[in-house]
Amino acid sequence: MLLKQLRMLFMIIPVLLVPHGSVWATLEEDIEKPRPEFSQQDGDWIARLIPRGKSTPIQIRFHAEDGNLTAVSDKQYTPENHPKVDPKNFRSDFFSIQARTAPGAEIAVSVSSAYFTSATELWCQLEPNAIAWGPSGATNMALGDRINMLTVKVCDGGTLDADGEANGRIELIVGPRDSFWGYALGTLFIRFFGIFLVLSILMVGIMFSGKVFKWIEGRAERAKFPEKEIEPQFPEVPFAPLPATVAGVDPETVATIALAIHLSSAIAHPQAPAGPAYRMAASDWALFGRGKLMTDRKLVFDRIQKK
Amino acid sequence: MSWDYVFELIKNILITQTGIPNLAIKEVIMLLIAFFFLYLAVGKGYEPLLLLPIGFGIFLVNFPLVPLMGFSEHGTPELIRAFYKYGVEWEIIPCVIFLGLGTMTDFGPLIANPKTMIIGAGAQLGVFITYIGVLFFGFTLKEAASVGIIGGADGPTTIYLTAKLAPHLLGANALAAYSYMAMVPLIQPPIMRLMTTKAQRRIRMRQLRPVSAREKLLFPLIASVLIILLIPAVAPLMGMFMFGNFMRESQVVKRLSDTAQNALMNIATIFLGLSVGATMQAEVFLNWKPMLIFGFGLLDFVVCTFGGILTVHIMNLFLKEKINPLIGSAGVSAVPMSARVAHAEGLREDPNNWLLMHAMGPNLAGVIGSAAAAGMFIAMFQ
Repeated sequence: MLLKQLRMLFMIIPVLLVPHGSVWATLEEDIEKPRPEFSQQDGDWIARLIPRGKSTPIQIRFHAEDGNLTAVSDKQYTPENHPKVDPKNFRSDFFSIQARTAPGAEIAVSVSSAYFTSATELWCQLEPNAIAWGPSGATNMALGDRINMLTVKVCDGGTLDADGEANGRIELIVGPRDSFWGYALGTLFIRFFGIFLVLSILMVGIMFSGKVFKWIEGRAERAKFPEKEIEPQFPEVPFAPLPATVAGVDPETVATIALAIHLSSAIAHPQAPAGPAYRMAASDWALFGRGKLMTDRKLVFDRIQKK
Repeated sequence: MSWDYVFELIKNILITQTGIPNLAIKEVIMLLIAFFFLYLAVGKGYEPLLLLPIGFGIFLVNFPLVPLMGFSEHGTPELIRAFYKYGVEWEIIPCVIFLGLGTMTDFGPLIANPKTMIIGAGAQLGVFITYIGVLFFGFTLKEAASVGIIGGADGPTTIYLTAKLAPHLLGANALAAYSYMAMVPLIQPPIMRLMTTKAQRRIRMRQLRPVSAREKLLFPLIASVLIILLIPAVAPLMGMFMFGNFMRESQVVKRLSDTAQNALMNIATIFLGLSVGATMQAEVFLNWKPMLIFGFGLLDFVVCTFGGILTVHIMNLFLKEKINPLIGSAGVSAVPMSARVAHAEGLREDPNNWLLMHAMGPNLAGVIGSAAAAGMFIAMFQ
């Protein structure tokens, strides 16, 4: 009874929790917030971080054409400030990229990583000093070695420049975006059917090895009992045709008599009652009895096999 | 020395060196939870080998100021922290338990009827449904995977995966997994009856062919090659499992096999239970997530049972020799409990229908399937 109540309770709890705002707040806590470390290499900036939903670190390289990158840092985006930005979709964090160029000039900023896929988009702050946030129109190019590069053109003082002024300083606020639910559902199907695939391959492996073992063991058994192979060396003597039913006696009685004659004759040939010597010495009645016995046994055997 | 000074001294000692004034309501709640699980283990006999040490672990660490799960002033781990660090965090104990399980497992029923392997895959349905379900509640991908694997009904796999992906959920996940494994005879039968007709429950299956010792000996090698090639991330679990089984079937290291399935397994179980229980400190455990985990854990078991039986129904559409759908429920590993439940349900309809050995096939496939699911999740986050 107690367990029944417990089961009910366990089922009810999640339903009760759904509308509870504080629960959502607790659960939505961003415990996987990436903490990137930045370094410079050949004029490029490199961020090393553990993205959301991953256990191992990745690298993201930032590069600028027609300008110099002066700094790259991570950008704190909180749901309170940017309610339309879901951090779950930005697994590798948000970045503030600062560059210098001639006032009013255009530069191409590229962000590349082996973590990006062909579906990764580069989203950015679309208006200076605003919370509008959307696709930057960056191109996604595969560089080989599983690296994808996202490139966006930014004009000093243009819409993508966060400071909004043509002062030779560009600030671009970006986040590489992969759809969280797309990834979660996609990986769900792939991995669920992956398990079927793995276990199916294992099943086929077991079936195949089972057949091989049966064959090997059958061969070993045949080698153990060579007399079975020797037997065909004797000339095959066919059984005599079955005697016709004796007039006035029912077939069962005929079969019983024939079987009795066969059993008594077989005593004289205990080693090989089915061998050629027996077949030559025995009467038609004895052979009929034996045939009847063997046929009926085979029927029973076949029935068991079918089951 | 004045009385005031003496009273102040006593007060300081009471506050800083005894637990009584530091005992908070949260800790009292945790102590009650510990008593509940100790009652389930001792009073009801539910998975006592695990629930008893887990319950006692919860009990011990929820006293204030206890030097058990912290670090000493020299930075060395305290007693149970050391068990946890070297046993669970280093992923040693779950693999040692898999070694022991391997030495206890007879793969004969699975080798004799390899088709049941598919049932083990179908019974992982709940793992993935739960994975999606908890994502709606704001769990991270890693947390969702660790909660999903509860439905695999395999304690060491759950602990292994959770320790790797979401160590802060270890206590709740392990407890949910073992609690529901103990409740398999209560959870599964209603679903089994709901999803089958009387005639289907009466289906008799052909006796399994005998499996030679040589075939059993080579099975762990063949299975290791195939599984580890396909999912390398599962090598620690599967490698140990198949190593244990190879020792058993080789018949030449009976001492090792005996140690692995008895002494070693028992030692590992003690440290595992205590360590897992000790992760459930009030400040970590008393929030909404563990409660949701318990709710979804149950759903997970239900859907896994459903998935196993559904897989048999689908297979029966194509098979000449029908499979009794009751054995589909044994696809959730919980060895051998779920196989026994399938057998008992079969006997209710037909007292001469012996399904136990047939159910062991999907049961073992479920162990492999849940380990494969864990391996896939690990690979996903690498």
